[in-house]
Amino acid sequence: MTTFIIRRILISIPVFLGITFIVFVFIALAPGDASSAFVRPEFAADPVAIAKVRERLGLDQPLPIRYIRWLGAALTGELGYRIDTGVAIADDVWRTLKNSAILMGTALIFGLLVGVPLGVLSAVRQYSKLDFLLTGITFLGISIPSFLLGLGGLWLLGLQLDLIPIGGMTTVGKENDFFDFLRHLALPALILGFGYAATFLRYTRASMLEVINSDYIATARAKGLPNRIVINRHAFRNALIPIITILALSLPELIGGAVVTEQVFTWPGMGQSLVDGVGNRDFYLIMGITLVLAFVVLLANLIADVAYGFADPRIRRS
Amino acid sequence: MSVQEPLAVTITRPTRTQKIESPRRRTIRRFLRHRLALVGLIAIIAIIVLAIVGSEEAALAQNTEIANMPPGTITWTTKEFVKDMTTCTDPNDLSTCKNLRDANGKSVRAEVEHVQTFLLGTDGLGRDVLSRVLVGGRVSLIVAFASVLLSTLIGVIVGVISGYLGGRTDATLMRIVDVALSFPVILLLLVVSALIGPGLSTLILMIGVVTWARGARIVRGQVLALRSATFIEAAKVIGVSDRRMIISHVLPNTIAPIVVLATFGVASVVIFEAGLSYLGLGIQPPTPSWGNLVNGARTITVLERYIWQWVPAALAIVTMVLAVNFVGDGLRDAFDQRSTNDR
Repeated sequence: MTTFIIRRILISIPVFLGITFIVFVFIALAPGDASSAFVRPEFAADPVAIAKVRERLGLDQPLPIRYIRWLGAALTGELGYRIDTGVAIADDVWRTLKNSAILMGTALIFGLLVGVPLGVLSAVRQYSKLDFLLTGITFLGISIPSFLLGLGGLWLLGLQLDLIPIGGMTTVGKENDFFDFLRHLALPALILGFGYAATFLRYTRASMLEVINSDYIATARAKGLPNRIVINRHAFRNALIPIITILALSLPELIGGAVVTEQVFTWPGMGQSLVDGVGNRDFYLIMGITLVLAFVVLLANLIADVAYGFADPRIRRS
Repeated sequence: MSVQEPLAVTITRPTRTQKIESPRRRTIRRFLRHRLALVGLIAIIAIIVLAIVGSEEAALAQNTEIANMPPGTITWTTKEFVKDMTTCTDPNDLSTCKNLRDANGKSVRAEVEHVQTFLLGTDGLGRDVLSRVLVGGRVSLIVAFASVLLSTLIGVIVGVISGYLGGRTDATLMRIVDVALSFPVILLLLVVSALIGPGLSTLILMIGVVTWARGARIVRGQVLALRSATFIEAAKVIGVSDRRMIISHVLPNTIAPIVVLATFGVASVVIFEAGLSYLGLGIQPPTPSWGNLVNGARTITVLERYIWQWVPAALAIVTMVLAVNFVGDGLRDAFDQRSTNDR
């Protein structure tokens, strides 16, 4: 198992470098660079002054060298400072990462707790009225973009019924009020959770149906085992493997996938930070976020691989 | 104890009058039986027709006199110069006439009443929301179809090369696919559109280039499976060239999963475009798109009081995505040759 994990980690290193390098190149190729922010306005048209600043910032170096310098600094935790607020990017990224993780983690847990059991139920009672109803709702959940659902929710619950606050994570002056925080969290988490629940329901149902129709389930039934044990012990365990994949694939989205929904609810998460960074052309902020995203993506893939290994001994051995 | 009956085998050969259904006919027939898919298809066609008939002129014509009007017939008055009909050089064209002047030589102005019906009201600049939704649909659909076409094209080419050539080429290409698949797509889209500058063609190019990897992987899988198929071997034996082999033997057999993937792709690009434009990083106003019409709802006033300005576009997005997903589902079931559920 250890060699398996080590091998997976080694494989993911080039992927990590690939992701960060591609984004680095894209930003570097874009017109305009950080030098314009550091040249005094009266020298803005002076090529000598600009060249000096570029040299001081290391922007005159070729791309690969600049990338390696950034990477070197980044690996020691030095990510630079935000252009707009001057806050250290490492701190900023850490704070927004936590906020995003709270929102998306709640949504994901909701999605799992609702989607998986209902998926099993839907599969066990295939073609029943309940199954049709659940499949229909799932279809809606997958098709309606969560940011539109969010807008609708804000309009109805926030503006018409005045039940929830219309955005943000806390009310000014109530920063330590846990109940107030929950009121802010509820709608975005529910809406994102609904999307997750729909996805999990769909895959759980499909995966359960495949397992239920296999021979060993017929055998278990033929032995006279009660239905509950057949479903819970024999079928569900094997149906879990594809669900692990979906779970792992949605982990990176935990951080980066809800950019638009975070904007709708002005949730101070990573998506918000990314949009700020992009809007201000804040090179180091974008790179800092990319670094974290790439790391989370690979970590998620690694977790998935390891989880497969545990769930299916055949994968471990090969 | 049971008496084994002699195994009677009757082979019914299809006579000339009996038609064997071709796989394509079977697919079409099964698709048409899929009621929701059919509804979806009709909805898509309707949306496309509406998007085509939308008037760009009406979508862009501003009139601040009638800003933020709710759906209905609006009556408003403007003061306009009265024309002196005797001065017209061309009696059919009022712009050739001089203004009517009073005794002091001042131009005479009169109140003119305008009546116009706006089925979906007007926006903050007095533009017709209905026209904007229709033309916005055109823009959004062009982005969706074009970028999916591009992404599919790249995916098929990479997949075929990878699967057919195999070896080191395959290994390298699949590594690249791995990177592309684990790439946080929204990150790249945001960065590129913000830094290079958004626009219709940039958006199409970007989405196409970012989303090809899944198609490539699927096509490669299909090609690998086909490589060992008997009919491919047979074709090889009779000396079919590589080009011919790919074009007339390999590609047609990879069509089914590609069509299904592309269909779902259209749905996800509609959502992508909407999200990006909502953030203000997609299609830029005054050109409307479904996404940037919903963008209006970023201000609380529009979200709360002018719902006719963002709800129609939001509903259009949802309808389109639902319809495309229905069709995708129907296609997947229809193509599924393993399926014994031959309704």
